[in-house]
Amino acid sequence: MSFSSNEAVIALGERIKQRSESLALTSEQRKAKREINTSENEKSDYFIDNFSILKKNIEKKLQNSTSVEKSQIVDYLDGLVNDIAKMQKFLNESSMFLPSFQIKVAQETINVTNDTVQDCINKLQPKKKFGFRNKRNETPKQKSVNVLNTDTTDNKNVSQTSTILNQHFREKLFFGFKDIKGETLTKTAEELKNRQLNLLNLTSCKVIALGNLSSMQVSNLKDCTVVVGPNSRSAFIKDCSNCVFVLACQQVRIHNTQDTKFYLHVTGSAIIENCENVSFGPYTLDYDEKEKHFEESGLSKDVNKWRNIEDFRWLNENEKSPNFTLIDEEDWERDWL
Amino acid sequence: MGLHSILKKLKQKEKEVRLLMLGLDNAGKTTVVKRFCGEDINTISPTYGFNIKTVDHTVNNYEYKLNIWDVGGQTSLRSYWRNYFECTDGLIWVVDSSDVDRLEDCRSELKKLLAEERLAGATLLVFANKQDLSDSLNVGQIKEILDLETLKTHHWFILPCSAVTGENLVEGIDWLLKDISARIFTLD
Repeated sequence: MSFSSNEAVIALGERIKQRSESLALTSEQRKAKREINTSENEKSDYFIDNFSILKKNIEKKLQNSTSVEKSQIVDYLDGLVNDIAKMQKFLNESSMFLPSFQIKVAQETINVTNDTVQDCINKLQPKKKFGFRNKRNETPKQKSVNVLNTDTTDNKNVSQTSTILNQHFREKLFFGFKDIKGETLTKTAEELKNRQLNLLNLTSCKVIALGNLSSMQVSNLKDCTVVVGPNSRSAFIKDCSNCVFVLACQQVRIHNTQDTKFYLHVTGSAIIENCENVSFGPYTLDYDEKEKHFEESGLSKDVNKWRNIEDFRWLNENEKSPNFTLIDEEDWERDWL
Repeated sequence: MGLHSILKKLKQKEKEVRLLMLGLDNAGKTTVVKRFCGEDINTISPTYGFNIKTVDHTVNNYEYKLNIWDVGGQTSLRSYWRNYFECTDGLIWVVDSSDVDRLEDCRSELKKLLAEERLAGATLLVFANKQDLSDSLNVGQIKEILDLETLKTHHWFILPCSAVTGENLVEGIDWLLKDISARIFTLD
């Protein structure tokens, strides 16, 4: 191979390398944009917001630095160095929950900002104090600062959601009971017809809802007894403790609940997830219009799978889940009303 | 003939489409699938793991073979969702429109999915389910909460529906298939 063609090969190699590098850079930038746009993790949103506040703060100080009194310049610049250290500390503390790419981006931002601050110090600091700095070659580190503008996060969506939900509550009237302590609460069959019954934040209450309802959402009950008629579809119960539920429905999902008894008529099945010390018995409720309400609900009276409880947090098929028990027949309670 | 064109031909012949149903627990995913397939919906249990349903469906005189993957939505199952992303042509996101309490959750889970590289090519259909309940949010509100208008990375469509009455289920799947086939199959 002749010398010149060898050189050409090297040049070509060099070009290919450059091209692949620039491709990698643009794809990284695109990725950066995408990742920032789609990042919905609250924690990383929180990080980005606060990080950019720190960054903006430093930039502002840098802008103002030329107008600071000579006598105060040393303290002023020290403050800037401290701010950079604060930024670094915040990143280090947050790195646990951040995606590695974001850490990289943030670290680069810190480096760039740090360089700018150092430049500013070199310009403004009284020279004799930091004389050794002059010996150092002033590296032209004016990297493209605007590559990383992480300011545009979509935190507004969260507040937007809550406004919509607030509107909903005001307009449509939340059907059910919430934020009540120590009362007996009732709903009639007429009220319940085709409605979703919501129970939210109740303490030491007794809820009686005899009728055919369509579904049920229960959240955060303590020391309550809840007695309901046949529910055409599903019941969703979470964050309850020390309660008793008497209900009939097609499916029951129970989450994050402790020390609670369930007397069920369930035609599909009942599942628990993150529960402790919950126990199950059959639907022992009796009242005048029960048969009629069962008919309206479409639930089969003959099928009751209250014994088939599945624990989604217990994957061992050979051993029974320790999180729930079935109540012995002699201990079944029957007096609900 | 390149591998790509062989695969394309094969797919074209059968018009096989893989759909993935996801959503929070109690959204009604299994009920949507069973109602769509004309099966009994009164015995459905919370999904422990997943179900696969294969069903033939005709849109515009083209017969498609749908493989519908219906994956459970309980919190402890959500980390397994990603095992089902591969080769998904269409993502069906089912929302319980009456579960006002967890819509924030619903929004963030959907956002997470849409950032997934392996779902980058999938068309998104959102079912605002349980519209037959009088306490449900309407489709406009769901659209706003899920922030769909700003979604530029996927083809998407949202429909109000009821898995219990069957309202709009076929319409939704039809739209999904048309959108997918415009991308994958070269319709003659």
